[in-house]
Amino acid sequence: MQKQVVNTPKKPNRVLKYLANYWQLYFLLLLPMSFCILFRFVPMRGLVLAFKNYKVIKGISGSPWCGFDNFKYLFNKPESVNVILQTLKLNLLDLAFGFPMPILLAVMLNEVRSTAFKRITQTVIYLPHFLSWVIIGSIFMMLLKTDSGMINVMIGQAGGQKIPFLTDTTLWEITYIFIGVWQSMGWGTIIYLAAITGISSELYEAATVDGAGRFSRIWHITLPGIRSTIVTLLIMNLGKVLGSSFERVNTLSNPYVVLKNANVISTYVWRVGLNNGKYHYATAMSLFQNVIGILLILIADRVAKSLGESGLI
Amino acid sequence: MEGGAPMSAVTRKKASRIREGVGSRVFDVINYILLVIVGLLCLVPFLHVFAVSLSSNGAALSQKVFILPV
Repeated sequence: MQKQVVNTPKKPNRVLKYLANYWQLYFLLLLPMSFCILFRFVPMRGLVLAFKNYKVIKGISGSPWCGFDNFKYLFNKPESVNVILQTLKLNLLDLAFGFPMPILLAVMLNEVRSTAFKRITQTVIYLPHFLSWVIIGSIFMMLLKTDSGMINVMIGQAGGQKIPFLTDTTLWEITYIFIGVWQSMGWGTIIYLAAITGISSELYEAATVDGAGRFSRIWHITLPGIRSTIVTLLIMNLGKVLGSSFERVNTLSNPYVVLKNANVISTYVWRVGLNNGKYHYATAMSLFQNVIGILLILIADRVAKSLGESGLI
Repeated sequence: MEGGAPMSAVTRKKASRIREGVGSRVFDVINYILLVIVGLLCLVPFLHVFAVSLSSNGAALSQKVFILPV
């Protein structure tokens, strides 16, 4: 009896005590939490637009509900389906070339013995990450234009045929992928290099003693050592397969490709939804895109877990 | 016996370094060349923009500038 009397007021105290002990950590959490709530959760109220027939005059709450009509309208339009397929195509290509590149670079950098060379190379390959897409777009326009781009001028001087990097539909896709890889490969190495640092050097020494060459050390020690990092990043990247950077596509697009290859969900939402004031279609499209994105992340996470990885969630 | 173990490790290490020899060198050379190419790929667009911005109008418009300002 006595114990119960003592215990009942103790239970809420424990939580309070815990909070009091670690108040610094909770205080630090305050800023990111408020950012998340303000800019990620509060705007989600606007998602109701996806199920409404929005009229600007009536406002969000005054507009009539229309169920799934917006989605039906969107998926009955052949252009929408093309846009989704084009987004998938560009993103899968991007994943296929852009994902392994940082791993390859990190492994290569790890094999460099000269510290000075390693540092200089790292700094140089980080550079493109710090440019915004608008600037990258204009730099590559300058370099790749068919008539006056520097690369085509040089090809012309060498007596070759000029290459329409940005106006030919197939070449545009290759250029788009290349520029994406170019921009992100250096920055992507950071996380892998950090993971490689965590591998015990004893493993390398033991392998060397046992007669392992450079390639077998990479294959049997470095790559297994960063496997969980690779899987985590792959899961996160799979979630972006239906997402698309508006800036990247829009700054690289031009009238020759804008309705064919450079026609992805984000630019489509902007062109059809926002420019024409049809916000409900734009919202419906974005909602669809994000729901698929989160489904992909969950599926990839399940698959990774069933393969014995620790997964993400 | 206790002093023997690290000794043999050292000699073995030396032996393996000699054994690595040619293959490892080739690997290093190719690795350096590839990394230099990647580095240049990242640097050249910057140098080009820099050179164009420092060049005279005429030279920039007549496409004479690549990496060195004219």
